[in-house]
Formats: sequence, structure tokens, C-alpha cells
Amino acid sequence: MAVAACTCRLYSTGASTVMTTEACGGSGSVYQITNTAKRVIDPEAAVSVYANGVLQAATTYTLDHLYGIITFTGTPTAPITVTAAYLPLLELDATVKASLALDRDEIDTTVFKAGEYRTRILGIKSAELSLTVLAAPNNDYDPGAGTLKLETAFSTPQLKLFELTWPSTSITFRMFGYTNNNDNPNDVEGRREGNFTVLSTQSTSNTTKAFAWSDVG
Amino acid sequence: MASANTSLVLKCAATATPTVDFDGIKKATITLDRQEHDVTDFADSTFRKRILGLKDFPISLSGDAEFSDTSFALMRTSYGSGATVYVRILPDGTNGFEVGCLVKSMSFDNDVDSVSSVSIDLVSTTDVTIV
Repeated sequence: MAVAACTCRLYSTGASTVMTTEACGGSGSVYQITNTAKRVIDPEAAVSVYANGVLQAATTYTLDHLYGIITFTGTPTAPITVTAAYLPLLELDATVKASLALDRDEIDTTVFKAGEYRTRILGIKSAELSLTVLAAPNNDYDPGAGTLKLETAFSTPQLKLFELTWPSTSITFRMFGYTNNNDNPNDVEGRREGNFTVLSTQSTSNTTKAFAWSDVG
Repeated sequence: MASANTSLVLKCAATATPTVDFDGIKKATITLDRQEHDVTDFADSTFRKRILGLKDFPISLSGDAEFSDTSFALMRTSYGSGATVYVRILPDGTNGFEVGCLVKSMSFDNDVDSVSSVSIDLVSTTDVTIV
């Protein structure tokens, strides 16, 4: 079923916030942070995972910073808790357009063989998010005491997570990235607009994904 | 005999001979290309001489982003895994082409006054099968 784009929602992240022994739900070897508001894990902050109160070695699990999913190599003893920092999601509620481009490097593997056709494998992945907002570049999207300004993310620069979601489908795309372009056209006959481009990047924690879908990874 | 594009059949799957329709797509282009080598030399007359080399079959798809569609989910999964997907395009509903491809790129456009749309570029990694 097609989706009206007006139902889309775009979010970015506010200030990194510490959480202590945050509860996780799950079973077997896969657990996820229970509180949906705390599932985006700051990749630039330390993480401690506990199984039944016992600190787990980092080599015994992988952590998906995008969706707060912990996958253990074995079967840990519950309850599973996490001490880390999460990034709160804040809606970019002035967005009028959001375009997402996913690309992979193409590596030619053609050799001499019958059929004479080209063969390939795929290499490095990257994502680019382009958004247009009807607001000033220094508009603060944080309704609370903190600040989330796209212009600051561009000029500082700040590693941010961006989430594009289609609520009617329950499918979400999240990516860590830097805002590398800020274009603000001003036409006397038009409206105030801000155009931003975000390029995906793997964080300093090189074990985490730069981007992923909520359903297929 | 000419046929309307509404009769086009588009299917894809992770294995050859796909049977699952790809919903939402409004435009499907497959290019059958062969690399061209210019071998014109002084011994030839004034006409260019060529031979053909490697075959290549790029496919581009575009349409509405239908997230509940099985084929659409396969495309998103295969982009991430790098696995081969088999795409069958039958322009008249019966005859056409099938190729094993890799999902090189996907673009999603969301404009507040439009429908969420998708464009997918696939690069071939097998020979083409004439269906």
C-alpha cells in the first residue's frame, strides 16, 4: 500500500543523557532496552552491560547503538540492564521534505569465462539525507531546557542521529551522520527555507552500524 | 504487436525464476548493453571497425514506496547484505528478461504534498535469461 508522504516524521537527537542500569526486555541471546525513548545509544559514551547484576565483558555481546539491541554470544542470565548514555529523539517539526539516498560501492569481479558478462560484488555502504525545513537555521527543536539546532550541528560539527519514520507502516530508518551542507535561499516572494544535507558516518565506536532499518537491519 | 505498459509483469526473489510480484513500481527499465571496442586501424577503409565485449544489464525501478510489499523488503535487505536478487521483467506479461542483480542504490523521496516514492538502481551480476 502506498504511503502519503505527509504522514512521515523526521527526528534528530538532543543532548546525551546518562542512564543507569536501564532495564532490557528479551529472551535467549537478544535483548533490547525496554524504554523506547532511551534506545538510541550515544556511540561516543562508555557502555556497561550487566546480566543479573554481573558486568559482562564487551567481547561477549554486540550492541546496536541505533535501536538499543544487545546480542549476546551465549545465553546470559536475566535480568539484563545497561548503563550508558542515550540520545533523546526530538522531532524536526518544520520539515517539508526529506529525501534519503542509500548507495554502495560497486566492485568489478569480471574474469574470463563463458557468457562474457560482467560480474560484481558490493562494497562500502553510505547514506545521505537531504531535508528542507520551513524555519530559520538556528531554530531550536528542543522544547525543553536543552537545544537542538541544525545550524549548530553543521558549524560545530556534531555527530547526530537522524530518524525518518513512516508511522503507518511502523518502519523506521536511523542513521548517524554529520550535517555537511546548510543552504538557506531567501526569495522576497517565497518562504523562509533551510536545506540541510547529512552524510552517514560510522562513529568512533567502529563496531556499530552507521545506519539501519528497524525491520530488516 | 504493440502492448500497453499496463501488461508489464515485474517479479523478484532471492532465487532464480522469481514468482513474487513487485508492488508499487511504476517504471521499470532494463538495458541490454555490450561494451564496444574500437579496432579501426590503418589497414581498414574509412569505415570504423568494432568488436563487442562484456555484456551488462543495468536495471532501474521507480514508483511508490510500499513498505508492506515482500519484494520491497527484499530489496532493502539485499542492499544491506549484498546478496543477489533475481529480477524478471516481462513487458507484455509473457515474454521478457530475467537477470541476477545487486541492489547498488535506493533513494526515497518524501515531499509533504506527495506520495513517498522510491528509486532503485540494480547492477547485473549474471547473464541475462531471455524468457
